[in-house]
This record gives sequence, structure tokens and C-alpha cells, in this order.
Amino acid sequence: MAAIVEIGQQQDQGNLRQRWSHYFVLAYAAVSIIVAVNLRISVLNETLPYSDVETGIRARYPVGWLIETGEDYVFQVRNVGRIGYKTSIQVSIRPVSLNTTTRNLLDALSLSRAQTLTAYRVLAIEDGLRIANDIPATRMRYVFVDVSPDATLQRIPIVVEAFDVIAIQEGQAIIMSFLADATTFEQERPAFERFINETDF
Amino acid sequence: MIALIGYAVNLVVAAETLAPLAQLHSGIAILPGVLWFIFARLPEMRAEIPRVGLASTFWISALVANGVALPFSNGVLQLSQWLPDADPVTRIVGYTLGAGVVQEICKYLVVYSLTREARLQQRTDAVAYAVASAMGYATAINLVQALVSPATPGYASFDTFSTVALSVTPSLLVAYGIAETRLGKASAFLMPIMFALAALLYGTLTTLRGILTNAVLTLQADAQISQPNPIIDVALVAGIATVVAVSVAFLINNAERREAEAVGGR
Repeated sequence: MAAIVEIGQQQDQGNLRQRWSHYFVLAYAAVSIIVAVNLRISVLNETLPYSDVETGIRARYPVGWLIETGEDYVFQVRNVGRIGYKTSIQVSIRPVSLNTTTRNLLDALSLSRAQTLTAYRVLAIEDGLRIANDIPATRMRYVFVDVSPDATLQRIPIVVEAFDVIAIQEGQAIIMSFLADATTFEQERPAFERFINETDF
Repeated sequence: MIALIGYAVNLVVAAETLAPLAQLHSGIAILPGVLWFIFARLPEMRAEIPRVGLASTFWISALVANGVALPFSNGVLQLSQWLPDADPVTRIVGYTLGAGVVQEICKYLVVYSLTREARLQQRTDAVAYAVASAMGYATAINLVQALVSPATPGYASFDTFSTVALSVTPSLLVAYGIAETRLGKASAFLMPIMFALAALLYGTLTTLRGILTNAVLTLQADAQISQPNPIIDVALVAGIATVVAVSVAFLINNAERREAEAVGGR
């Protein structure tokens, strides 16, 4: 039976030049990884500007998200690269009377959604928020089940978690909604927080 | 040793529960490692003075790839979340400083640690240890790929080849740096420069592979259905690997010839 005999040799600690080259490699690797982490943060947080002259809204939305305008909303941006439910941010404006409160508006939204969305449930309502230019706002957190109307689409319905941030200003209610798959909601939430912080009315 | 046995048992248990496609892909994934063992490790045993610790270098690199490099790349850097959609320059920088540096520092530290005991007697020893480390690293990456997202044999073969080449090619540059630092009289900056070049090579090749070989979307009505083109991938990676291997061989031969001339001239 063949056997390998390892012949131990003298420990070679290397001279000063060799040790310095080793330290330089370690330093280069450490700096590179720090730069890579920073690059990741800057790429993920990169935004593009959007402004609507008619409504006076200026916002910044994440790069790579698809922006759309529609009849029911001023604009919405969707993360079309995401598989499954497309995370989206929607901004809409509704005219309100002087007597309308945010709570009236939330009730109206809930009643309307309960009829159109499957398993719609309000989770929490939080008052006392402040958004752009120190406007008081209310936040409503809710869930529903996204069932595709296409019966041929073979996929399990998705539980969607969402936020509405509502503020009333000069006879208009500004409604900013954030909708995401419930499993990735918290992971995607910072994008909405940044969006709110960078939006002007 | 305990870690190696645990790793092997884990692989056997996983293989038994795999779908046939994943079993086939796993077989292809370990093929380069088996070939390395047959054509590089076994002949070494018959040598008069065999290199010590080549198999350890292979296995420890595989463990480091699976236990350190992959969790760090997927968990901390999360490259797949932000790099594939970025512009080409960002991708090159990201893959170089992220995946490239992580891969090279893992392999470098394994080779550095296992060759400290005067195991490098000539410059080709550094190449042998660096290639052993690269093969172990690539085998682990290929196995994880086979277990997580198995592909058809054709694509699995191309992908396995590219992963091995992308691990071995930069390692040749690092091997030259180690050889010249340990056995030559190179500056202390040569090793970090070769290390940086190795990471840059990895980052550039990874980006080029994505640009040149992936399927593209087109709005032209008469366009044919676009498919990924792995032939270009293999040609690109094999071409660069050949150029780097020939260059490193030339540099090492040149350095050894000059050293022999210097010794003979005394």
C-alpha cells in the first residue's frame, strides 16, 4: 500500500518585503469590499426626477422602475423587474370639501376597496405624521389578496401589503400609496420612505 | 477533517434526494475536479519529491468557497439584486470589487496559509498550488449552482467550463505574484498589483459574458427568437485563459532563465 510521507521543512516566515506585500493585498481587499458595499448602496438608492406642472408635484423615483400616468392617479411607478407582484408607488389627488377630514377619506377608500379587492382588511391607522413642507398626514396600513383576472395564469394568489399616506392641503387630498408583496414588504419599504421624503407638493 | 467528512456526507444525502436533472448537473459540476485529480494530483504522487498539501489546498478552497465566499456574496453584497441591471461600467467595477476580490482573497489566503512552510521551491510550485485552490473553489461553486438551479446537460457543461476558467485564469496572475514575491526579488507592490489585475480580469470577463452571451429583447417584427449563445461565452473565456496562461508561462520561464544566468555568471 502506497503511503505519502510529508517531509516537514523549516518554517519560512518571509522577509519584510514579503510581509508588506501580504499586508498590501489584505488592505486592498478590505478597501475594495468597503467600496463595493458603498457602490451597492448608491446603486440601490439611485433615483430619477419626475415633475408634474399641472398638480405641482415634484418627486424622485427609483431607477429602473416604470413610470405611468393614468386617469385614476397622477402617476405611478412600478418595479417591473420583480417577479410576482410588482411593487408600486402611486400618487393620486382628489378634490375635497372644507369639512372633509382624512378619516372621512380613509373610510371612503376602505368602503370602495372592500368591494373591489379580495380579502381587503385594514391593519392600522396612524395619525400625526409630517410629510413634505411639514404637512400633517395620516397613514393607513392594509392588506388584500391579488387574484389575477386571467384564469389561464397558473399562479397562487399573492397577499399584498400596502400603505396609504394621506394629506389634505388647499382643498385637495394627496394620496400616496405603496403596494408590495407581503413577504417582501419590509424589505422594499425604504424605497417608499425615501420617495415620501423627496416629494414636494 | 471533520468539516470535510461533514461536507461529503451532506453532498451524498443531497444527491439522493435530487431530481435527475440536478444529479446530472452535479456530475458535470464535479467533473473538472475529478479530471484535475487524475491528471494533476495522481502524477504528483509518483514524483520523486511530490508537492505536499495539494489535495488539502483543493478541499480547503472548496470549503472556503461554500462557507465564506458564497454566503458573503449572496448575503452581504447581494450582487444579483443590483448588478445585472446596472450599466456596463458599474457592472465591471461591481464584479471586480465585489465578487472578484472576494474570490481572489479567499483563494489567496488558502494558498498563502498552506505554502508558508517553505513549500515553494520553484516558481511553478506557486502555479500548482494556485490552480489546486482555483479548482477546489470552482468545484464548490459549480456544485452549489447544480443543487440550486440545475440546467440541461448542454448549458450545465458550458457553465461549468466558464466557472472553472473564471476561477483558474485570475489565479494564474496571483500565482505569478506569489512566485515572484517569495522566490524572486520583486517589489512589495507586485503582489497587490497582480491581485488587483486578477480581480479586474474576473470582473471584466463576467460583465462581457453577460453582454455577449445573454438573449436580447427586440421589437423588430421580423426578428428571430433570441437565445443565449454559450459558444461565444466559451470562446471568450477560453481565449482569455489561453492568453493569460501563455503570458504567465513566458514571464515565469523568463524569470527562471534570468535567475539561472545570474547564478551561472557568478
